[in-house]
Amino acid sequence: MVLSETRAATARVGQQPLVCVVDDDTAMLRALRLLIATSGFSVETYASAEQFLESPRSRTIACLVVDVHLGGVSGLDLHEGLARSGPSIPVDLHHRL
Amino acid sequence: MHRLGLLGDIFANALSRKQSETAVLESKALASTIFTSLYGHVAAVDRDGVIIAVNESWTRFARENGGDPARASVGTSYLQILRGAINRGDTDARRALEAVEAVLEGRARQAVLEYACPSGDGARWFEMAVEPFRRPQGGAIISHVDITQRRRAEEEARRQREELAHALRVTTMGELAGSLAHEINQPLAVIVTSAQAAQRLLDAGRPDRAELRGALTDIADQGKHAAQVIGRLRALFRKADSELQLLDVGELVTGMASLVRHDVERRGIAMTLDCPPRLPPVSGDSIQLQQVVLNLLVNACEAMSTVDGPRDLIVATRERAGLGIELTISDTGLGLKESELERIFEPFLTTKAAGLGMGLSISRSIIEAHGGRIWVTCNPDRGITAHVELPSGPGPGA
Repeated sequence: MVLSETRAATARVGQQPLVCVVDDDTAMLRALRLLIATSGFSVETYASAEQFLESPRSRTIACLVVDVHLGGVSGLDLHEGLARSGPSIPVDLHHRL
Repeated sequence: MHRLGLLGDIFANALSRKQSETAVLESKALASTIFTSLYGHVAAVDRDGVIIAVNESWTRFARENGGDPARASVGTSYLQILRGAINRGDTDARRALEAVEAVLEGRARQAVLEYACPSGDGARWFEMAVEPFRRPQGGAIISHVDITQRRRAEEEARRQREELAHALRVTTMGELAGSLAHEINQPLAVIVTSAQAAQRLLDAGRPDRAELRGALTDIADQGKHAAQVIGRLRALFRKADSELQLLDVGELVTGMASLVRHDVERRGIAMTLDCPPRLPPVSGDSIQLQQVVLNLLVNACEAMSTVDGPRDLIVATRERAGLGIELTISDTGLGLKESELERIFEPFLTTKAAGLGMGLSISRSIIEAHGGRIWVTCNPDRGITAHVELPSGPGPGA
Protein backbone atom coordinates (compact mmCIF):
# COMPACT_ATOMS: atom_id res chain seq x y z
CA MET A 1 0.00 0.00 0.00
CA VAL A 2 1.47 3.32 -1.03
CA LEU A 3 -0.11 5.91 1.16
CA SER A 4 -1.39 8.87 -0.80
CA GLU A 5 1.11 11.61 -1.11
CA THR A 6 0.52 14.77 0.81
CA ARG A 7 -1.19 17.62 -0.95
CA ALA A 8 1.82 19.83 -0.58
CA ALA A 9 3.98 17.12 -2.07
CA THR A 10 1.52 16.48 -4.86
CA ALA A 11 1.42 20.15 -5.71
CA ARG A 12 5.15 20.32 -6.04
CA VAL A 13 5.77 16.90 -7.57
CA GLY A 14 7.62 17.82 -10.77
CA GLN A 15 11.30 16.98 -10.73
CA GLN A 16 11.80 16.86 -6.99
CA PRO A 17 14.02 14.03 -5.82
CA LEU A 18 12.06 11.00 -4.58
CA VAL A 19 12.42 9.82 -1.01
CA CYS A 20 10.90 6.45 -0.06
CA VAL A 21 10.02 5.71 3.56
CA VAL A 22 9.49 2.22 4.99
CA ASP A 23 8.07 2.06 8.50
CA ASP A 24 5.44 -0.22 10.05
CA ASP A 25 4.06 2.51 12.30
CA THR A 26 1.37 4.35 10.35
CA ALA A 27 1.52 7.49 12.53
CA MET A 28 5.30 7.64 12.07
CA LEU A 29 4.87 7.11 8.36
CA ARG A 30 2.45 10.05 8.15
CA ALA A 31 4.75 12.28 10.19
CA LEU A 32 7.83 11.45 8.09
CA ARG A 33 5.91 11.90 4.86
CA LEU A 34 4.79 15.37 5.88
CA LEU A 35 8.21 16.35 7.19
CA ILE A 36 10.01 15.17 4.07
CA ALA A 37 7.38 16.66 1.75
CA THR A 38 7.60 20.04 3.48
CA SER A 39 11.37 19.86 3.01
CA GLY A 40 10.95 19.86 -0.75
CA PHE A 41 11.00 16.19 -1.78
CA SER A 42 8.56 13.80 -3.36
CA VAL A 43 7.63 11.04 -0.94
CA GLU A 44 6.42 7.49 -1.24
CA THR A 45 5.65 5.54 1.90
CA TYR A 46 5.48 1.80 2.53
CA ALA A 47 4.30 -0.10 5.60
CA SER A 48 6.77 -2.98 5.11
CA ALA A 49 9.95 -3.95 3.31
CA GLU A 50 7.93 -6.47 1.31
CA GLN A 51 5.56 -3.78 0.05
CA PHE A 52 8.50 -1.64 -0.94
CA LEU A 53 10.18 -4.50 -2.81
CA GLU A 54 6.98 -5.54 -4.59
CA SER A 55 6.00 -2.08 -5.81
CA PRO A 56 7.06 -1.07 -9.33
CA ARG A 57 9.79 1.58 -9.59
CA SER A 58 8.66 4.44 -11.75
CA ARG A 59 11.49 6.76 -10.85
CA THR A 60 14.96 6.75 -9.43
CA ILE A 61 14.95 6.81 -5.68
CA ALA A 62 17.11 9.57 -4.25
CA CYS A 63 16.98 8.30 -0.70
CA LEU A 64 15.38 5.44 1.21
CA VAL A 65 14.43 5.91 4.87
CA VAL A 66 13.92 2.60 6.66
CA ASP A 67 12.95 1.71 10.19
CA VAL A 68 15.47 -0.84 11.50
CA HIS A 69 12.79 -2.73 13.40
CA LEU A 70 10.36 -3.97 10.83
CA GLY A 71 8.40 -7.16 11.21
CA GLY A 72 9.13 -9.77 8.49
CA VAL A 73 12.04 -8.51 6.35
CA SER A 74 13.90 -6.18 8.73
CA GLY A 75 15.37 -2.83 7.83
CA LEU A 76 18.85 -4.31 7.95
CA ASP A 77 17.84 -7.22 5.68
CA LEU A 78 16.41 -4.74 3.22
CA HIS A 79 19.55 -2.65 3.31
CA GLU A 80 21.80 -5.65 2.70
CA GLY A 81 19.54 -6.93 -0.06
CA LEU A 82 19.57 -3.59 -1.84
CA ALA A 83 23.32 -3.19 -1.43
CA ARG A 84 23.84 -6.58 -3.10
CA SER A 85 21.34 -5.97 -5.90
CA GLY A 86 23.08 -3.18 -7.70
CA PRO A 87 22.82 0.59 -7.99
CA SER A 88 23.31 2.14 -4.62
CA ILE A 89 20.59 4.16 -3.04
CA PRO A 90 21.49 6.25 -0.02
CA VAL A 91 19.75 4.53 2.86
CA ASP A 92 18.97 6.05 6.21
CA LEU A 93 18.37 3.28 8.68
CA HIS A 94 16.63 5.00 11.51
CA HIS A 95 16.53 3.42 14.87
CA ARG A 96 14.34 4.70 17.62
CA LEU A 97 15.69 2.83 20.58
CA MET B 1 -43.64 -72.08 89.78
CA HIS B 2 -45.71 -69.89 87.50
CA ARG B 3 -45.80 -67.20 90.17
CA LEU B 4 -42.15 -67.39 90.60
CA GLY B 5 -41.74 -66.85 86.88
CA LEU B 6 -44.00 -63.77 86.98
CA LEU B 7 -42.08 -62.33 89.88
CA GLY B 8 -38.91 -62.93 87.98
CA ASP B 9 -40.30 -61.04 84.98
CA ILE B 10 -41.35 -58.11 87.14
CA PHE B 11 -37.94 -58.03 88.73
CA ALA B 12 -36.21 -58.27 85.41
CA ASN B 13 -38.36 -55.44 84.03
CA ALA B 14 -37.59 -53.22 86.97
CA LEU B 15 -33.92 -53.96 86.57
CA SER B 16 -33.91 -53.12 82.89
CA ARG B 17 -35.86 -49.91 83.54
CA LYS B 18 -33.31 -49.00 86.15
CA GLN B 19 -30.55 -49.70 83.64
CA SER B 20 -32.13 -47.58 80.93
CA GLU B 21 -32.70 -44.72 83.40
CA THR B 22 -29.04 -44.88 84.28
CA ALA B 23 -28.19 -44.86 80.58
CA VAL B 24 -30.34 -41.78 80.03
CA LEU B 25 -28.77 -40.00 82.99
CA GLU B 26 -25.32 -40.91 81.78
CA SER B 27 -26.03 -39.72 78.28
CA LYS B 28 -27.46 -36.44 79.67
CA ALA B 29 -24.37 -36.00 81.79
CA LEU B 30 -22.18 -36.70 78.78
CA ALA B 31 -24.08 -34.22 76.60
CA SER B 32 -23.92 -31.61 79.33
CA THR B 33 -20.19 -32.13 79.81
CA ILE B 34 -19.57 -31.81 76.11
CA PHE B 35 -21.76 -28.70 75.94
CA THR B 36 -19.90 -27.09 78.84
CA SER B 37 -16.46 -27.96 77.61
CA LEU B 38 -17.00 -26.69 74.06
CA TYR B 39 -14.39 -24.16 73.06
CA GLY B 40 -16.92 -22.14 71.06
CA HIS B 41 -19.63 -19.96 72.55
CA VAL B 42 -22.74 -22.10 72.28
CA ALA B 43 -26.42 -21.43 72.95
CA ALA B 44 -29.49 -23.55 72.33
CA VAL B 45 -32.67 -21.72 71.38
CA ASP B 46 -36.24 -22.95 71.09
CA ARG B 47 -38.33 -22.68 67.95
CA ASP B 48 -39.16 -19.03 68.77
CA GLY B 49 -35.52 -18.13 69.16
CA VAL B 50 -35.62 -17.88 72.97
CA ILE B 51 -32.38 -19.06 74.59
CA ILE B 52 -32.92 -22.25 76.59
CA ALA B 53 -29.32 -23.14 77.41
CA VAL B 54 -25.87 -21.55 77.11
CA ASN B 55 -22.45 -22.94 77.89
CA GLU B 56 -19.87 -21.33 80.15
CA SER B 57 -17.92 -20.03 77.24
CA TRP B 58 -21.01 -18.13 76.01
CA THR B 59 -21.53 -16.45 79.39
CA ARG B 60 -17.84 -15.57 79.66
CA PHE B 61 -17.85 -14.14 76.14
CA ALA B 62 -20.87 -11.96 76.90
CA ARG B 63 -19.14 -10.65 80.02
CA GLU B 64 -15.77 -10.05 78.36
CA ASN B 65 -17.36 -8.08 75.56
CA GLY B 66 -18.78 -5.63 78.04
CA GLY B 67 -22.26 -6.93 77.55
CA ASP B 68 -24.63 -7.81 80.32
CA PRO B 69 -24.55 -11.61 80.53
CA ALA B 70 -28.15 -11.57 81.72
CA ARG B 71 -29.24 -9.97 78.47
CA ALA B 72 -27.90 -12.86 76.41
CA SER B 73 -28.78 -15.68 78.76
CA VAL B 74 -31.51 -18.23 79.24
CA GLY B 75 -34.99 -16.80 78.84
CA THR B 76 -34.13 -13.93 76.46
CA SER B 77 -34.95 -14.01 72.77
CA TYR B 78 -31.84 -14.27 70.62
CA LEU B 79 -33.84 -12.91 67.71
CA GLN B 80 -34.64 -9.77 69.75
CA ILE B 81 -30.96 -9.33 70.62
CA LEU B 82 -30.09 -9.47 66.92
CA ARG B 83 -32.91 -7.09 65.98
CA GLY B 84 -31.62 -4.63 68.57
CA ALA B 85 -28.15 -4.82 66.99
CA ILE B 86 -29.62 -4.30 63.51
CA ASN B 87 -31.39 -1.16 64.76
CA ARG B 88 -28.02 0.11 65.95
CA GLY B 89 -26.77 -0.28 62.38
CA ASP B 90 -24.94 -3.62 62.67
CA THR B 91 -25.07 -5.16 59.19
CA ASP B 92 -23.53 -8.45 60.35
CA ALA B 93 -26.45 -8.83 62.76
CA ARG B 94 -28.82 -8.75 59.80
CA ARG B 95 -26.99 -11.67 58.18
CA ALA B 96 -26.99 -13.49 61.53
CA LEU B 97 -30.73 -12.96 61.96
CA GLU B 98 -31.40 -14.29 58.47
CA ALA B 99 -29.26 -17.36 59.23
CA VAL B 100 -31.03 -18.13 62.51
CA GLU B 101 -34.50 -17.62 61.04
CA ALA B 102 -33.69 -19.78 58.03
CA VAL B 103 -32.70 -22.69 60.26
CA LEU B 104 -35.60 -22.22 62.72
CA GLU B 105 -38.11 -22.17 59.87
CA GLY B 106 -36.54 -25.22 58.28
CA ARG B 107 -35.46 -23.34 55.15
CA ALA B 108 -31.81 -24.18 55.69
CA ARG B 109 -30.19 -27.34 57.02
CA GLN B 110 -27.29 -25.31 58.32
CA ALA B 111 -26.07 -21.73 58.13
CA VAL B 112 -22.52 -20.50 58.57
CA LEU B 113 -21.25 -16.94 58.37
CA GLU B 114 -18.14 -15.03 59.31
CA TYR B 115 -18.22 -11.61 60.91
CA ALA B 116 -15.85 -9.06 62.39
CA CYS B 117 -16.20 -7.86 65.93
CA PRO B 118 -14.30 -4.73 66.94
CA SER B 119 -12.39 -5.19 70.16
CA GLY B 120 -9.52 -3.60 72.07
CA ASP B 121 -6.66 -5.13 70.03
CA GLY B 122 -7.98 -4.73 66.50
CA ALA B 123 -10.88 -6.56 64.92
CA ARG B 124 -11.57 -10.10 66.00
CA TRP B 125 -13.24 -12.50 63.62
CA PHE B 126 -15.89 -15.05 64.46
CA GLU B 127 -17.56 -17.83 62.62
CA MET B 128 -21.21 -18.26 63.53
CA ALA B 129 -22.81 -21.60 62.82
CA VAL B 130 -26.51 -22.35 63.19
CA GLU B 131 -27.69 -25.95 63.20
CA PRO B 132 -31.20 -27.30 63.77
CA PHE B 133 -31.87 -28.65 67.29
CA ARG B 134 -32.78 -32.20 66.35
CA ARG B 135 -35.74 -32.81 68.66
CA PRO B 136 -39.50 -32.82 68.14
CA GLN B 137 -39.98 -29.32 69.61
CA GLY B 138 -37.52 -27.81 67.13
CA GLY B 139 -35.13 -24.98 67.85
CA ALA B 140 -31.52 -24.37 66.93
CA ILE B 141 -27.98 -24.63 68.27
CA ILE B 142 -26.01 -21.44 67.69
CA SER B 143 -22.25 -21.36 68.10
CA HIS B 144 -19.70 -18.58 67.72
CA VAL B 145 -16.07 -19.64 67.30
CA ASP B 146 -13.16 -17.19 67.37
CA ILE B 147 -11.37 -17.57 64.03
CA THR B 148 -9.20 -14.47 64.37
CA GLN B 149 -5.95 -16.45 64.20
CA ARG B 150 -7.03 -18.25 61.07
CA ARG B 151 -8.11 -14.97 59.46
CA ARG B 152 -4.83 -13.32 60.43
CA ALA B 153 -2.87 -16.22 58.97
CA GLU B 154 -4.90 -15.99 55.77
CA GLU B 155 -4.36 -12.25 55.69
CA GLU B 156 -0.62 -12.71 56.20
CA ALA B 157 -0.44 -15.32 53.43
CA ARG B 158 -2.33 -12.99 51.10
CA ARG B 159 -0.04 -10.08 51.98
CA GLN B 160 3.07 -12.16 51.32
CA ARG B 161 1.65 -13.36 48.01
CA GLU B 162 1.05 -9.75 47.00
CA GLU B 163 4.57 -8.73 48.03
CA LEU B 164 6.04 -11.54 45.97
CA ALA B 165 3.75 -10.76 43.04
CA HIS B 166 4.89 -7.16 43.17
CA ALA B 167 8.57 -8.14 43.28
CA LEU B 168 8.03 -10.40 40.26
CA ARG B 169 6.18 -7.68 38.39
CA VAL B 170 9.06 -5.29 38.89
CA THR B 171 11.52 -7.98 37.74
CA THR B 172 9.49 -8.71 34.61
CA MET B 173 9.25 -5.01 33.83
CA GLY B 174 13.01 -4.77 34.20
CA GLU B 175 13.45 -7.54 31.65
CA LEU B 176 11.09 -5.69 29.34
CA ALA B 177 12.75 -2.31 29.84
CA GLY B 178 13.85 -2.07 26.19
CA SER B 179 10.42 -2.84 24.86
CA LEU B 180 8.72 -0.52 27.31
CA ALA B 181 11.08 2.37 26.50
CA HIS B 182 10.31 1.83 22.84
CA GLU B 183 6.59 1.97 23.52
CA ILE B 184 7.06 5.43 25.02
CA ASN B 185 9.75 6.58 22.60
CA GLN B 186 7.76 5.69 19.52
CA PRO B 187 4.90 8.15 20.13
CA LEU B 188 7.43 10.78 21.23
CA ALA B 189 9.30 10.38 17.93
CA VAL B 190 6.04 10.82 16.02
CA ILE B 191 5.22 13.92 18.09
CA VAL B 192 8.61 15.51 17.42
CA THR B 193 8.53 14.68 13.71
CA SER B 194 4.95 15.91 13.28
CA ALA B 195 5.73 19.11 15.18
CA GLN B 196 8.79 19.77 13.00
CA ALA B 197 6.69 19.16 9.89
CA ALA B 198 4.03 21.55 11.19
CA GLN B 199 6.69 24.21 11.80
CA ARG B 200 7.88 23.87 8.22
CA LEU B 201 4.32 24.14 6.97
CA LEU B 202 3.96 27.40 8.90
CA ASP B 203 7.34 28.69 7.81
CA ALA B 204 6.38 28.09 4.18
CA GLY B 205 3.54 30.58 4.61
CA ARG B 206 -0.13 29.97 3.77
CA PRO B 207 -0.04 26.47 5.24
CA ASP B 208 -2.53 23.86 4.08
CA ARG B 209 -4.99 23.80 6.96
CA ALA B 210 -5.89 20.12 6.49
CA GLU B 211 -2.23 19.10 6.62
CA LEU B 212 -1.63 21.23 9.67
CA ARG B 213 -4.68 19.83 11.38
CA GLY B 214 -3.58 16.27 10.51
CA ALA B 215 -0.18 16.87 12.12
CA LEU B 216 -1.73 18.38 15.25
CA THR B 217 -4.21 15.50 15.52
CA ASP B 218 -1.34 13.03 15.35
CA ILE B 219 0.55 14.98 18.01
CA ALA B 220 -2.44 14.93 20.35
CA ASP B 221 -3.23 11.25 19.69
CA GLN B 222 0.35 10.13 20.16
CA GLY B 223 0.65 12.20 23.33
CA LYS B 224 -2.40 10.44 24.72
CA HIS B 225 -1.01 7.10 23.65
CA ALA B 226 2.29 7.72 25.46
CA ALA B 227 0.39 8.81 28.56
CA GLN B 228 -1.64 5.57 28.41
CA VAL B 229 1.50 3.47 28.24
CA ILE B 230 3.00 5.32 31.19
CA GLY B 231 -0.26 4.91 33.10
CA ARG B 232 -0.15 1.16 32.51
CA LEU B 233 3.46 0.96 33.65
CA ARG B 234 2.80 3.00 36.76
CA ALA B 235 -0.09 0.71 37.66
CA LEU B 236 2.13 -2.34 37.28
CA PHE B 237 4.93 -0.83 39.37
CA ARG B 238 2.56 0.22 42.11
CA LYS B 239 2.19 -1.91 45.17
CA ALA B 240 -1.53 -1.71 45.58
CA ASP B 241 -4.00 -3.63 47.66
CA SER B 242 -6.09 -6.06 45.74
CA GLU B 243 -9.10 -4.31 44.27
CA LEU B 244 -12.00 -5.99 42.51
CA GLN B 245 -13.69 -4.54 39.47
CA LEU B 246 -15.47 -5.77 36.37
CA LEU B 247 -12.90 -6.17 33.62
CA ASP B 248 -12.89 -6.75 29.89
CA VAL B 249 -10.30 -9.52 29.51
CA GLY B 250 -9.81 -8.82 25.80
CA GLU B 251 -8.98 -5.17 26.51
CA LEU B 252 -6.63 -6.14 29.32
CA VAL B 253 -4.83 -8.64 27.07
CA THR B 254 -4.55 -6.14 24.22
CA GLY B 255 -3.02 -3.59 26.59
CA MET B 256 -0.37 -6.04 27.80
CA ALA B 257 0.34 -7.20 24.25
CA SER B 258 1.13 -3.60 23.31
CA LEU B 259 3.71 -3.43 26.10
CA VAL B 260 5.64 -6.44 24.78
CA ARG B 261 5.09 -5.65 21.09
CA HIS B 262 8.56 -4.30 20.50
CA ASP B 263 10.16 -7.25 22.27
CA VAL B 264 8.04 -9.58 20.16
CA GLU B 265 9.15 -7.92 16.93
CA ARG B 266 12.78 -7.81 17.97
CA ARG B 267 12.73 -11.59 18.38
CA GLY B 268 11.19 -12.04 14.94
CA ILE B 269 7.93 -13.30 16.39
CA ALA B 270 4.62 -12.81 14.58
CA MET B 271 1.96 -11.99 17.15
CA THR B 272 -1.71 -12.50 16.32
CA LEU B 273 -4.37 -11.10 18.61
CA ASP B 274 -7.83 -12.59 18.43
CA CYS B 275 -9.75 -10.77 21.15
CA PRO B 276 -13.33 -10.07 20.10
CA PRO B 277 -14.85 -7.01 21.78
CA ARG B 278 -17.73 -7.09 24.26
CA LEU B 279 -17.18 -10.50 25.83
CA PRO B 280 -18.87 -10.79 29.23
CA PRO B 281 -16.75 -9.05 31.89
CA VAL B 282 -14.96 -10.92 34.65
CA SER B 283 -14.64 -9.73 38.21
CA GLY B 284 -11.01 -9.35 39.20
CA ASP B 285 -8.00 -7.34 40.20
CA SER B 286 -6.74 -5.73 37.02
CA ILE B 287 -3.09 -5.45 38.09
CA GLN B 288 -2.92 -9.08 39.18
CA LEU B 289 -4.53 -10.32 35.99
CA GLN B 290 -2.32 -8.06 33.86
CA GLN B 291 0.65 -9.59 35.63
CA VAL B 292 -0.48 -13.11 34.72
CA VAL B 293 -0.98 -12.14 31.07
CA LEU B 294 2.38 -10.34 30.93
CA ASN B 295 4.08 -13.34 32.47
CA LEU B 296 2.53 -15.76 29.97
CA LEU B 297 3.44 -13.49 27.04
CA VAL B 298 7.05 -13.16 28.20
CA ASN B 299 7.31 -16.93 28.73
CA ALA B 300 5.97 -17.61 25.25
CA CYS B 301 8.44 -15.15 23.68
CA GLU B 302 11.38 -16.61 25.59
CA ALA B 303 10.41 -20.14 24.58
CA MET B 304 10.63 -19.08 20.91
CA SER B 305 13.75 -16.94 21.06
CA THR B 306 16.11 -19.81 20.20
CA VAL B 307 14.01 -21.96 17.86
CA ASP B 308 14.42 -22.12 14.09
CA GLY B 309 11.38 -22.02 11.89
CA PRO B 310 8.21 -20.02 12.35
CA ARG B 311 7.80 -18.06 15.55
CA ASP B 312 4.10 -17.59 16.01
CA LEU B 313 2.44 -16.18 19.08
CA ILE B 314 -1.34 -16.49 19.01
CA VAL B 315 -3.31 -14.79 21.75
CA ALA B 316 -7.05 -15.40 21.83
CA THR B 317 -9.94 -14.76 24.19
CA ARG B 318 -13.31 -16.41 23.83
CA GLU B 319 -16.46 -17.05 25.77
CA ARG B 320 -17.03 -20.55 27.07
CA ALA B 321 -20.69 -21.12 27.78
CA GLY B 322 -21.27 -21.72 31.46
CA LEU B 323 -17.57 -21.45 32.29
CA GLY B 324 -16.76 -17.83 31.61
CA ILE B 325 -13.86 -16.50 29.57
CA GLU B 326 -10.95 -18.53 28.29
CA LEU B 327 -7.66 -16.92 27.31
CA THR B 328 -5.20 -18.97 25.31
CA ILE B 329 -1.63 -18.01 24.53
CA SER B 330 0.09 -20.42 22.16
CA ASP B 331 3.64 -20.39 20.96
CA THR B 332 5.76 -22.40 18.56
CA GLY B 333 8.63 -22.56 21.00
CA LEU B 334 10.73 -25.28 22.58
CA GLY B 335 7.69 -26.99 24.07
CA LEU B 336 7.49 -29.25 27.10
CA LYS B 337 7.30 -32.96 27.83
CA GLU B 338 3.91 -34.21 28.99
CA SER B 339 5.44 -34.88 32.40
CA GLU B 340 6.52 -31.25 32.72
CA LEU B 341 3.12 -29.69 32.02
CA GLU B 342 2.02 -29.72 35.63
CA ARG B 343 5.44 -29.38 37.25
CA ILE B 344 6.13 -25.97 35.73
CA PHE B 345 3.57 -24.54 38.14
CA GLU B 346 5.69 -25.61 41.11
CA PRO B 347 7.65 -22.78 42.72
CA PHE B 348 11.34 -22.43 41.92
CA LEU B 349 11.05 -24.71 38.91
CA THR B 350 12.36 -23.01 35.81
CA THR B 351 13.59 -24.04 32.40
CA LYS B 352 15.06 -20.61 31.83
CA ALA B 353 18.66 -19.60 32.43
CA ALA B 354 17.55 -16.44 34.19
CA GLY B 355 14.47 -16.33 36.32
CA LEU B 356 13.29 -17.41 39.71
CA GLY B 357 10.77 -19.95 38.53
CA MET B 358 8.05 -18.18 40.50
CA GLY B 359 6.10 -16.63 37.64
CA LEU B 360 3.77 -19.52 36.91
CA SER B 361 3.41 -20.44 40.53
CA ILE B 362 2.27 -16.90 41.35
CA SER B 363 0.10 -16.83 38.24
CA ARG B 364 -1.68 -19.95 39.39
CA SER B 365 -2.29 -18.60 42.87
CA ILE B 366 -3.65 -15.37 41.36
CA ILE B 367 -5.97 -17.19 38.95
CA GLU B 368 -7.20 -19.58 41.61
CA ALA B 369 -7.91 -16.66 43.94
CA HIS B 370 -10.13 -15.37 41.11
CA GLY B 371 -12.03 -18.66 41.08
CA GLY B 372 -10.43 -19.64 37.76
CA ARG B 373 -8.04 -22.25 36.39
CA ILE B 374 -4.70 -22.08 34.60
CA TRP B 375 -3.04 -24.95 32.80
CA VAL B 376 -0.76 -25.74 29.90
CA THR B 377 -1.17 -28.18 26.99
CA CYS B 378 1.22 -29.36 24.27
CA ASN B 379 0.39 -28.21 20.74
CA PRO B 380 -0.03 -30.98 18.15
CA ASP B 381 2.85 -29.66 16.02
CA ARG B 382 5.17 -27.61 18.19
CA GLY B 383 5.20 -25.42 21.25
CA ILE B 384 2.68 -25.17 24.03
CA THR B 385 -0.57 -23.37 24.78
CA ALA B 386 -1.27 -21.74 28.12
CA HIS B 387 -4.95 -21.64 29.06
CA VAL B 388 -6.56 -19.35 31.60
CA GLU B 389 -10.20 -19.77 32.47
CA LEU B 390 -11.97 -17.06 34.49
CA PRO B 391 -15.59 -17.08 35.61
CA SER B 392 -17.53 -14.18 34.11
CA GLY B 393 -19.67 -11.87 36.19
CA PRO B 394 -19.16 -11.07 39.86
CA GLY B 395 -16.93 -13.89 41.08
CA PRO B 396 -15.62 -15.00 44.46
CA GLY B 397 -12.92 -12.36 44.19
CA ALA B 398 -9.21 -12.20 44.76
